[in-house]
Amino acid sequence: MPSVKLPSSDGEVFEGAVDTAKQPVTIKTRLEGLGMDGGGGDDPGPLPNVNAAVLKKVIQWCTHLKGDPPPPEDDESKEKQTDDIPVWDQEFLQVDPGTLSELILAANYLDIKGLLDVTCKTVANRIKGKTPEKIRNTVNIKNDFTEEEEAQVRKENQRCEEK
Amino acid sequence: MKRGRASDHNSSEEGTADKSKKLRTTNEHSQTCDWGNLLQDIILQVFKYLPLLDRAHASQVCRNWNQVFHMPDLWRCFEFELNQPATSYLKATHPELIKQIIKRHSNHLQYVSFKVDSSKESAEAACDILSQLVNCSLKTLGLISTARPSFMDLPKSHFISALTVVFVNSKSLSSLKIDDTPVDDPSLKVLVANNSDTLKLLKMSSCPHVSPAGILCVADQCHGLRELALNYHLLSDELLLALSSEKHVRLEHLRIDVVSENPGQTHFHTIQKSSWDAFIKHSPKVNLVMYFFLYEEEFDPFFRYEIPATHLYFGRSVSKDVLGRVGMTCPRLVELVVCANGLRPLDEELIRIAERCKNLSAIGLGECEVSCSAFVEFVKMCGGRLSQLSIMEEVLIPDQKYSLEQIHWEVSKHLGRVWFPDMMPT
Repeated sequence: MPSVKLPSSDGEVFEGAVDTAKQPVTIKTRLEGLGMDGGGGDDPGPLPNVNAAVLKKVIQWCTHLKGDPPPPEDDESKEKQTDDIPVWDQEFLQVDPGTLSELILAANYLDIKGLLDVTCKTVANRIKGKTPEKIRNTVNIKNDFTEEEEAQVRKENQRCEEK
Repeated sequence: MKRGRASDHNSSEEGTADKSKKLRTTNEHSQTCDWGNLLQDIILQVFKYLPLLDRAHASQVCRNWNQVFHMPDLWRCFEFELNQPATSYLKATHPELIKQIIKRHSNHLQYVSFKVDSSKESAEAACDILSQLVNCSLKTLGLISTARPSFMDLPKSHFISALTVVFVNSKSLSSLKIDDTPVDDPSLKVLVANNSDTLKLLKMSSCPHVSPAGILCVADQCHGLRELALNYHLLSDELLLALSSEKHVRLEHLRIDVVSENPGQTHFHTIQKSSWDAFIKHSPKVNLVMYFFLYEEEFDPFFRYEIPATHLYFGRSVSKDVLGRVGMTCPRLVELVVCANGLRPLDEELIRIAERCKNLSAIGLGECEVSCSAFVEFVKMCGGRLSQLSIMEEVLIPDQKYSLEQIHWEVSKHLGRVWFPDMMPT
């Protein structure tokens, strides 16, 4: 497998053996632009929004994918399942909320649908069954509602509970 | 070849407009840890995996998340559950939520179903909601009665006018489930006038106000129809031929309910063999599912010649003679369920089915009798292709060769997996 150098947003260069065939389009384009020896032609520049640590994890995930078939087409009328995350992915995603959010952003920016799906499912699983307060604690979000707004929202949401 | 910090890198240089939309707010690194301000598109993806109640809780977390909660994409699919608390233990959608959906999201709805209990009030409430869906362009609509069909209790005109609102406003209905409702021929015409290009599935079993001409109109105009469920009285030679015309797509699923409320009351017409032949020629892979709720003496018109049935269910008692005819006339049979027969063993009939129905993979027998030897022979002939073998223990009659204790072992051997008969729960 060729060794490539892929600069990331925080100045570090991700370097390693990468099986180019298995990478998603955006990374592949970067690698092709860089050339296999890492030095030829115009360097297209770093990936501006993905730092080295996250990029490494993304490539790790993509490599593990090993040409698995793409996920099936979304059937909009059916409820989406979250209990089908492969074990490897579950372990891979046992990270703090900060890293998880970076992974989601990277997957979104790099247009890697499979990774985006599995990270979103993971977040959904962390949210399910929790009260709003608990969710805030899980993902470190500040409550920015005024008291009135919050009362209004709570009232609206009581309707979603079944009678 | 290290590069310096890329903080001055202009994100708008990157890729397509799509990308630049995604990059809009991600330039600061503090961004990546800030779940509250995460891109709405991303939060939307997460919310899509949450059921309504969890989404509602998540919407209370912060303003940004609350905005996402109301995004159209999350309100495409809804099931209205309408039950009267006085008479039903089933949960119901909150009336305030119903109002909120109609007010804020009615033009986002695309996949809608109504689950109603057996009360007239629930059916009326469903019609009421339907009448208000004037801004909707539905793709699927399902009316489901969880108990006794309550839509039939409504005044027909009331129901029809509510349904017509949907038919007229939704120009791209693809799936419609209206079993047990008072839908009629004129309303089907309205359906066809507005949705003929898109209709793929139509389930209308037990709709007594529709005539064969009414359903024929649907088959003639809706060339994309792939799945159809109706009662036998609507089936005609013309219908089968319309479904087999060149312009029509291949049918995937046809379900026919053959129902008699009182013995001798209903006359069952015959369908020509040539119509079935044309039908199967046009759609060679179709599943033809037939449910029979007839009295024993009413089976005369059926199973007189070869028909392409794949799934047969006999809900009431069916005679040995008819089951014998099934073996002779249904070579495509995949699944057979007999709820009740009589007290004479079905040995010959079962063997014949094993011989001639080479695709049979599932069988269920209720109040019948089969000798153990014949049963073992049957299983031996079918072998491993029987993926479902559901036989009540009382069905099997021990004989000289096999006792009840031995039979499960013999059968398991031939099936290639462990098998036991079904027990009546005590």
